[in-house]
Amino acid sequence: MLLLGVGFLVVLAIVYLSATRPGTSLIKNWESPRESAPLAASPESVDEQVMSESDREEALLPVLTARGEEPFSMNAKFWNELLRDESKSASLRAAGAEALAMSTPDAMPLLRDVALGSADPEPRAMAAWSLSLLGESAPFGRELAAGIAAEENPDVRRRLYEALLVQEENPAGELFEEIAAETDLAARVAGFNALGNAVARSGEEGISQTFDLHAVPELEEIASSEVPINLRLRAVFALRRASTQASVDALIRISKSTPYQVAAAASNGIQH
Amino acid sequence: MKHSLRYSMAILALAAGFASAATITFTFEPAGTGRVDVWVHGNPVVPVEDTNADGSETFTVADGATFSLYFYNISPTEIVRTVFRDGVALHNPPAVTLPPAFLANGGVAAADLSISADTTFAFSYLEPVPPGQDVPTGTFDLTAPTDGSATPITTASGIYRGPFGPRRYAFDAATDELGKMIGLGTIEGISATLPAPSSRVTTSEVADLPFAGALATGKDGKPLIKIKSSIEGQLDNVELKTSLKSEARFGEDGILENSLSGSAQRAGSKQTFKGLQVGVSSPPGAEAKSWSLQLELTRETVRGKSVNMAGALLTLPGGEEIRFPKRAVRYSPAKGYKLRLSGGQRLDENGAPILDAKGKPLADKKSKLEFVGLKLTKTNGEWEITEGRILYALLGQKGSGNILDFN
Repeated sequence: MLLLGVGFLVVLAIVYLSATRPGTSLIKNWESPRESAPLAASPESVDEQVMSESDREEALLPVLTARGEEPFSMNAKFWNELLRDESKSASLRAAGAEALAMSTPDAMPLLRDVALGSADPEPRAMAAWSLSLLGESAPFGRELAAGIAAEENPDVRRRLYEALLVQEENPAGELFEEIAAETDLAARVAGFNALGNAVARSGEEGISQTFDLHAVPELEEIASSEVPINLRLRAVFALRRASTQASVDALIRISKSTPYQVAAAASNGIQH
Repeated sequence: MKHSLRYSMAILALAAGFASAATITFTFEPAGTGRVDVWVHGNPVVPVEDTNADGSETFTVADGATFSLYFYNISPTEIVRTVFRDGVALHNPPAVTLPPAFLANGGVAAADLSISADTTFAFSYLEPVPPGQDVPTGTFDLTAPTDGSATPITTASGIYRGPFGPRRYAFDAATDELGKMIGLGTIEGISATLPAPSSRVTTSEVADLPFAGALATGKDGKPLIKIKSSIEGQLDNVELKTSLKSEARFGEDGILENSLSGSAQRAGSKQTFKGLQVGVSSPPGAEAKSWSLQLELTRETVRGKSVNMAGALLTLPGGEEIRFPKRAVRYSPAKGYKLRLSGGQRLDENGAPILDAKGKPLADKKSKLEFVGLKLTKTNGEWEITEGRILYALLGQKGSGNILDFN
């Protein structure tokens, strides 16, 4: 039964992925009035007959997740065809890019191309996020930094900042103007995390001073504010990453004045 | 799995003779109800999904391109009315008369159209309600239970600490609105070396160890945390390089049970492992967090017709808010409301939509809610929910529950 289920999903995946190419749309094949029988008049029966596109994609997710767990080289052709084909739905490509987070580092060049080149923000964001999990001293720091400067979507920039954390070179120190201009708090805090990481790595006085002067007061304020706990914790992480004296001083203050979770995260950052 | 209703409607517009590019505007009324696939011959299908709050999307057809249009209703309603207007000239054969509006309750309409100027296609649907029908409306505050009566959703954010053998550990994890997690931790005796050029951290006795991951729902219907971490550094002053993958589940007594796979290289000696079971203590209550929803059901007049509408404000366990703008929904006295909410807008700390560089609200395409068989009865003049199921996809996890368990 299990095998039958898996087999069905694989067949569904193959049919869907091959049929959504230009000229052979599954939507067209299934639902074009000229090629299929008229739909039933009753909406309830239509409900049973017609699987929406999002439902079909939903059914494919286990297939993508399973393939994403395997070494990239085993399915390189599959992933390239899926992620580079912009005619496929953005959400399907995003799900594929997301699944590759659990694959192997040789998926990174493809993910870089998607993160920086896809026309749709959803796959760009998920490809960048997967890079942040796959990168083991990855060599794309400069490219990702250039991508951040050119990226219009703050969700994508947030993920690109996160991907910078695991790059061999993190040029976030050169992105201060971009980070300072972020109006989406999630992207801004992600930018400060990348900057904090760059501060710790470079040890350059200029970057440290910039971080201490501009980022530390704001991060302390965010950590102590009423914004979602996720952002408050990430603000603390940015301070911990930088580990400058001003950051440590801020962590000490946060550890004494904020609710338990945030205070504990700050305290953990000053234990060493 | 519930299948949403989708209608394939009007097709085929041939722009054989037009000389310059034309801008097509699709309007959807009510907002958030429709989608158009623009099928440019020899080129990819371009979906034009109604994601704008004002219900309009624009698409430009290149010079000389021929194209087809497929209209879809992305909201589960049973009567769809599509209206073509503004500058659409019928073509091939010229005698065909396309009605200004037609029902697509399983029927189809096809006509070859020629567009010679900027054009607006208006897509709207209206669901008439029988005269005298009393449709339930109101605002309903729903809070997810954490007692196991509905599939749990976790943020897994918080501090994980305790002893692991002779060493103490402390990990802090933060999870965003998509269930994506990052964290920093410390383990006694382990220090990390950041990628070169690094000058500061190598000198520390203990440095933060980074990790990242994502939440999911396991096959057992319980939260699953997938984590990856690569560490280069020292263990008790001996060189260490590790690459770890973990799948963690919440077990009994607040223990997060990790199944570790990966490799560790210490002093030149490399070991690989798979399925190594490691339990760590989890923060109190981390295994299930409450989330809430303010569901608004209204009846509004659109173009002189009464339409059932639904919108919602979702508050995720971590405090992030997602607003699902009102959209037309389906209701029948026998089956109640059936509605699906997706493509919500992320709100900032002031409750305003977060915008991209073009001024469009950022969509959260991962958070989804579906209500099936949502029935209400009127008591003392107020509508109360009496039946229904809620299905949800939140923070990378999925689940369902009886609506009556959401108090």
